[in-house]
Amino acid sequence: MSEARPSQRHVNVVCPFCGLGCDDLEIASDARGVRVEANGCPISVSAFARAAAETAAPTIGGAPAAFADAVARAADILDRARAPLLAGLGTDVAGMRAALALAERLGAALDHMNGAALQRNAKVLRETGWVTTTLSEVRNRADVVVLLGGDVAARFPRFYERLIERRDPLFPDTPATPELVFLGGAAPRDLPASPSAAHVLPCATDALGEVLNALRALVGNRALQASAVAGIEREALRALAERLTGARYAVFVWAAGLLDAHGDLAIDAAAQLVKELNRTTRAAGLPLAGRNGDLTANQVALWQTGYPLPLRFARGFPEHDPYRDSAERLLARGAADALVWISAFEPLPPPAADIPTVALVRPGTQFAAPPAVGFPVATPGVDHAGHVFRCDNVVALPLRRLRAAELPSVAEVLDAIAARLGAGSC
Amino acid sequence: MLIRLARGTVYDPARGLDGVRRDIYVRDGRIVADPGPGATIDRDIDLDGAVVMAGAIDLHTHIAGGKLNLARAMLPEDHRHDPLARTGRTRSGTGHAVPSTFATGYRYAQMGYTACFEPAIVPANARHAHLEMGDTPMVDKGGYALLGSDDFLLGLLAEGAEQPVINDYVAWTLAATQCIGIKVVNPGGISAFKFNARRLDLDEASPHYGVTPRRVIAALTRALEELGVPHPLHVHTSNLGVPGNIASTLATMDAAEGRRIHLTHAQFHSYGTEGERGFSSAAARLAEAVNAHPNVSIDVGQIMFGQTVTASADTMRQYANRRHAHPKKWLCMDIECEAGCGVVPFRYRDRNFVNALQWAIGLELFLLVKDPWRVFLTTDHPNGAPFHTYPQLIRLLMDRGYRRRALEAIHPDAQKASVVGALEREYSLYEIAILTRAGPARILGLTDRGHLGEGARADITVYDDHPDRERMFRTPRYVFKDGRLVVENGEIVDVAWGATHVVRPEYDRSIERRLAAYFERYRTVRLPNFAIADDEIAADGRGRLIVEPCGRRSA
Amino acid sequence: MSALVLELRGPAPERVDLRGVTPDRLEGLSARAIGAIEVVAGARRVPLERLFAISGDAPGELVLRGATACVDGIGAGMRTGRIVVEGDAGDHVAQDMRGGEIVVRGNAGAYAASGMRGGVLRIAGNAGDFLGAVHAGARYGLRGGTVIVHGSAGERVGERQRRGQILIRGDAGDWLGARMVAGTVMVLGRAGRFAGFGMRRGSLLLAQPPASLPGSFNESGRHHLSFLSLYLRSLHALDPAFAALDPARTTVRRFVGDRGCNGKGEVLVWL
Repeated sequence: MSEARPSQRHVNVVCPFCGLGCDDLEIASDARGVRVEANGCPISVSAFARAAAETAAPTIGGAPAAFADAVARAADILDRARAPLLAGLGTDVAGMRAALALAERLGAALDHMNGAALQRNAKVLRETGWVTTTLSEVRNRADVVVLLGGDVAARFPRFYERLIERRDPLFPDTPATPELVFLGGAAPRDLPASPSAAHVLPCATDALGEVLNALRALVGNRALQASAVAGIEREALRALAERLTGARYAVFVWAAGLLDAHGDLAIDAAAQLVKELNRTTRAAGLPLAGRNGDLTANQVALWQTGYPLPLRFARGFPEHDPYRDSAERLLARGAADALVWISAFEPLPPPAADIPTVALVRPGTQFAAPPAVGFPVATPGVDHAGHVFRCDNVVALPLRRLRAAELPSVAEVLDAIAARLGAGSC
Repeated sequence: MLIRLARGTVYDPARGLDGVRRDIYVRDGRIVADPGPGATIDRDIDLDGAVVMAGAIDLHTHIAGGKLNLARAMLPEDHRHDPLARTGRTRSGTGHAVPSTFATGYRYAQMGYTACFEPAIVPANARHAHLEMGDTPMVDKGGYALLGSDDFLLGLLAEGAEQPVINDYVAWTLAATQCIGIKVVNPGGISAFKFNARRLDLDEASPHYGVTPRRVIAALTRALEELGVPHPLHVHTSNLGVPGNIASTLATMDAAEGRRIHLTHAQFHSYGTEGERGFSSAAARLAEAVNAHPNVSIDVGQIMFGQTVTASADTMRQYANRRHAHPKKWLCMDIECEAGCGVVPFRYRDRNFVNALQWAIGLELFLLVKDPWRVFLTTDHPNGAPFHTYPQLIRLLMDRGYRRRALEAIHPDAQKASVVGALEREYSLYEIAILTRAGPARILGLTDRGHLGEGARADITVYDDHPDRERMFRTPRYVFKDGRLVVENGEIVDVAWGATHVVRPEYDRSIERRLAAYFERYRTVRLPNFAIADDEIAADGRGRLIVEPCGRRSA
Repeated sequence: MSALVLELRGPAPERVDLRGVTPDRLEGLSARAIGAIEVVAGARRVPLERLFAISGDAPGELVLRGATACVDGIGAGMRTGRIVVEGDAGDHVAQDMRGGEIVVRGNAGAYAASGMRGGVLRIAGNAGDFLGAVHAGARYGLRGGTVIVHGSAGERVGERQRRGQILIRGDAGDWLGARMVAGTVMVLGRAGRFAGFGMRRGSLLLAQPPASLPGSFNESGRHHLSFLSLYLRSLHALDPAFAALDPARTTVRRFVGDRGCNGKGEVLVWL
């Protein structure tokens, strides 16, 4: 890999930040730093932006330290821990491989910062299953797109541009722009420019499942007594049901992270509705995710252990108990006594916890209190090559190195710590 | 380091050695000639009475990619009862129907396998599949890229593109996905399902494109022949699991127009409609056709009784099969205007007439196809059964007494509906070595695998010659991978990381301009980010690529 | 002969997983062997005796003492015998239990009786969320047996319950009986919102109207259900807490759903 020269322009750059996996960015890296020059969005523009010379040293108790000393201190913390937790897991495939190897050696628990959202989908997948689709299918095939629980644009800024305002689908029967339906949640503040036939059927977020089940009853021609469901007129739902049964390829979009704690029930209702539609026509779900490497971490966990996150290795083999081992719950209950926090994509500090913390974070992360050991780490797709999974969970994208940085990767730090385990106190 | 494997009984069909006592010498990962009396033997292993074969090769086993991870996610209950704990040498994981990658590699090696080929790599998911294979230890890997329901190929056929353009696209696909072969699944059918078609027969025009599955088969078999790709088109034919599908299976053979064609998991495609239940064995008809057509090979896709999961790109058929899901859950996915994937858990029961007859049909195929070089031992893992059932399957083939007893345990009507009980054939060790070593290596074009001649990679399995062939094949005495002893009496004693085998037929690079425009206009990944670079597979020092030679391109 | 007593040696800083330590599995083991059983605490496997002071000699009845709110998996998979938890139980008490009796004198955590197939679980205090609900790696919630809660229960009681009964003297949280397949849940206090969401079959018997029913339930009017008086009488014998139930109260308003999933479950509200 070549060192970044005074000025370099990169085209077809993959953006790993929101999960939509846009790979058409144009990026300049020069003496002023790294910046998006074309095809950016609010998330990518701020996430790629880097100062030219970002040299951050590891810290011990907030004070700069040599890398080897920081590694030794981290290993010592983990050697002493009786119930360590690896959390955050905002990293690429290589970082996750290293995290799993370390967790296995420690007998640790392991969860992603978006673990609760991951579980909402995982639960539906393991209990009933679903019919889903991917971005290129939506782009070329969808004639009705139902957005569940509010506006996804805030979290996936180029969603409308890339999948809805497409104008040029492959198949002549697909309209240039699909009919858009916003079901549940509040209406988006700005409806996307072009869709003429956007329908907005708002309801409280926690009533989304109820609305979906009512809609499903109407799709199946099962009479309902209620004249309105969660504030939505039954006849409006009936009209939508007719539109869905008449559609060639209806797509239901949800982002589990935008749903509430019982969002799995709404996702299940949507999944069953989609299955019912498929008896006579085609329809599919599109679960959106991918921010901070959540799908990436989950995919690697699945192939290396057989289970999605969260995981625990206390018995020497992987176990999956999503309630017990959610990072949030372990920390809230005081059931973890050391934390390895990983956030290489966004400068997110670890959650407040009164336990020794080893933080592998993007430089510039603001801590409420300095971690026991801090490692500023390289960002995948900016500082080093790697792989991440896109929101539809099918496409793994290659990340490139855009600049020369001295920062170690998450994998390098974790491997160094693992190599130092059992070496005794420093 | 020079190793001598002394006095073993060697079964090496690639060289015609049928139970011949030979010494085998291994140096620097390869088999070498007898170095003569002056040479220093660093390690001398006496194999008196033991059976020596090349490492086994599975040419059709679903071990990597999105559909497996979906199956894993769907079946935590399947893993809970089969945990694999870490040791000082090996990583932890889980089984059973869809083991984790580490468990897959270890368990294959523990059965004497040294290479596994993933037969259904959706191009859009190829990077994922290679990442999983990168975490699969002990064995060599490779994959077949899935074409035939992809919009680009169907579009080429619809517009009547010249064959050389199709050849360029096929060759580009092999390069971009880092694969060794091309697979077609329900040709045109996965695409048709996206247009709400629920069936597509061989001579039906597909929705939107108006292209018949027959045309897809003809174009792709021809492309592979003209490109000089060693492995013929790997075909999962139309109508999987449908009673009466023997007609479209036989017609698919003809669609190859005399070119080489491999029909995969043929058991699922050898069904008639006779009998009270409208479901009968057509294995004899298929076997007869295979025997009569030297251009045709099959792997069986044997089912074995028990819980497993089916994971297939054939969304059309998987959707139809959802009714048989056990446990009752299933998923389907449409993928990137290329293909799809459906996951349906299954439990095959010996007391269920259909399942019992499926089991018998698979055995009939093994026993009725005469040429062992053109039939391969598979369960279509995990679709017919998990791969760890292979030793039992080998015993069914080698031991007719055992086979007869097994037959007596299945549904009585299925016993009557099958000729298995009347088939006396018993496979010899030599034939098993063809089915599981020499045959797969030859049909994949692996020149230095699957045999024990000088220059071969030293992938070697040594078995105790136990009369219980299941026991014999379950736990080899030694397994060598690239000359290193990796398994001893079922224990992993060293961890190896196999290579990834690919082919790179020549193609006219101008196809990439057309593809780049197509990807930019219609797809959601750009061409440069779609193709997998060599260093992505070699990353972290564990993986490496082996480019197998192709013949000369003829058109 | 006296019950085998496990007294937690002090508040454990991490969760303890007691799965596998059940009367039927301890039968016939020496005191030494019992003390040596490995259980998981946090990231480690430790001998039982390091966590618990062990006394008594008849493991047919197991008594747990101390600050046991952090002890998960009590009685999980039990087939026979009796367990008494003198204080609180952690999560997953009686998970996948097949027979015998478990008494929790305090409160129970989440997923009590999840996947339970038989036997009786009595909780004197409150139960957490997911009582009798489906856990990861299972397909159903409660699959048989009886669960009695004298206090209240949390959210999603009986999610994907398939058989058996859950009897709650106090209140139940939101999503009671969610995605229920069959079986019975009775709530004598008040049930929360979305009661019966996604029900396919089964019965929710409620002493008061729930905070809300999903809009995909239809009302089928008032019914006089004669079997109710038999059922209520059977509960008298089951637990003194239900002695006050009046077997003459047999008139209900009946709601049927969830029509979304073509369900024929019933929510019965006593009149």
